[in-house]
Amino acid sequence: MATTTKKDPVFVVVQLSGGNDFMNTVIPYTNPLYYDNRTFLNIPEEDVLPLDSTLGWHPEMGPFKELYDRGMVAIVQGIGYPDSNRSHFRGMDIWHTCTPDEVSTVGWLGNTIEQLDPTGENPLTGINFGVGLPKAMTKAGVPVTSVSNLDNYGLMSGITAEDQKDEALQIFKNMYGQAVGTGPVMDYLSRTGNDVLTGADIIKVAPERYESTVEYADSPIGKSLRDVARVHSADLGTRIFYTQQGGYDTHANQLPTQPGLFKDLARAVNDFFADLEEHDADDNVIMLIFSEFGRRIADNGSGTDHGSGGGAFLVGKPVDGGLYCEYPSLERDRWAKGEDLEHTIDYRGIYGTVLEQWLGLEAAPIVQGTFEQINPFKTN
Amino acid sequence: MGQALMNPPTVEGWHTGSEWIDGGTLNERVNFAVNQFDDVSTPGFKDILSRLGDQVKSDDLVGRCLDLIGPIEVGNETHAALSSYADAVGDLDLSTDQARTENAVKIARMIQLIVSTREYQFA
Repeated sequence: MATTTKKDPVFVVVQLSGGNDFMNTVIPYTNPLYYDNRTFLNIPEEDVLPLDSTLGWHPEMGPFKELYDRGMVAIVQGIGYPDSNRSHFRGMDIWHTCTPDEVSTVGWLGNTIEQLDPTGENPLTGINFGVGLPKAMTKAGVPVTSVSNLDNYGLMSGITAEDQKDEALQIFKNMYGQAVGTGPVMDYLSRTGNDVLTGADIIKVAPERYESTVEYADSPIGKSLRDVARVHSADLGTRIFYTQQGGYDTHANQLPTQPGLFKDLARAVNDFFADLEEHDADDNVIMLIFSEFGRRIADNGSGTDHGSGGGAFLVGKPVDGGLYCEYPSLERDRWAKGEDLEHTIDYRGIYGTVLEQWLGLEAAPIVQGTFEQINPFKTN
Repeated sequence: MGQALMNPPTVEGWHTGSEWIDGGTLNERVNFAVNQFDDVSTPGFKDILSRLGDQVKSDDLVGRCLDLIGPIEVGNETHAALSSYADAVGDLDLSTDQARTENAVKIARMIQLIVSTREYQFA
């Protein structure tokens, strides 16, 4: 049964692109096997931010720990899927389409948006912030808005005279609006152009209405989440937000790179929820943070390579914070592929959890089956 | 426009497929291209202007600008939309400095419309 809120439930997805190293995010800092296998790339016990007697946060996840300590973070340990594909592209496609065994062009959030807005009436039902619409949000005929710069979103923005801009936009509309049936690429461009025209008209009010005392850190993920907050607080009917933070494919650069990524992420997520709280707009928002795979258990002497099981986070005021599922065993005989963390919960079960318990939708048609769910939401 | 040189999102590079363009990148691409023709005093635009000769008939404006920008071939619908603008501005006199100054913005606008077309963006 769906969790009830006074307002429509809103779902924010943050994709950590590149394969985040879960073992150095939520660290089994009292397990000797962690230090045995991470001879080079370990976080010393004294630097870990403990969350209990066995697990702790990476030292740069302090602002995230604050949210956890407030009971707003559900840690989904061991998320993944059977026979993990270690390719970034294929791995992300699998997460985006819920089809590990075949290649699909339909995204699970594309299906979700279609369920939430069957007539496609509001092109802002689903919004991606960033560059490159994720396959998760794609489905033919389902309008989705993708914004790389909210303050500059809208075509012909360089034409300052309003009457001339209106004239140019009308001609643009005529050029893009009458071409359906001229081939898949031109059709796709036509739909995209029209979605921009429609979406820009509605979304332009968001920056105008927004005021906040929260100062986001100057980082790409901070900017993206601020844009999410600006649109959400403008109450434009958006139900699905998507954004991503890149750079997690660290390999040999993990030691110098991962702390900066976590610093930006933790601060941005903390700022985002502080901003929503200030706007009294946090009781109907949850966030899923995921990555396409975890890294291998043992480091390679300078970094970590692509692995299988990892971790995800559900964050928000309606979330019943704590640890969910089982942290993958570090015992060698339980390693996946002889090298990786074995997943202990299928990612489609977490999608199903969000779909059924948060958005109130039937999960099976969207996630292509029935998978074990968790119960991460507060009961009213 | 989202693809920083030598900095793909992962070691596998850039994803193929329709991800090369979406609402956000189309917006960025169109605005970038349009903004390149916002200033009619640039040497590049003056060169385009000089190539158009002393007179441009309204009927010829679309075709000659498409040639100068590409050449680009456009579909009937796109051509009709561009022609509606050409009809609105009428014949253009470019025979004197004063006439060129007066009509440069109209030529620039036609080129801005051309670079915003699907055909130019996909070319």
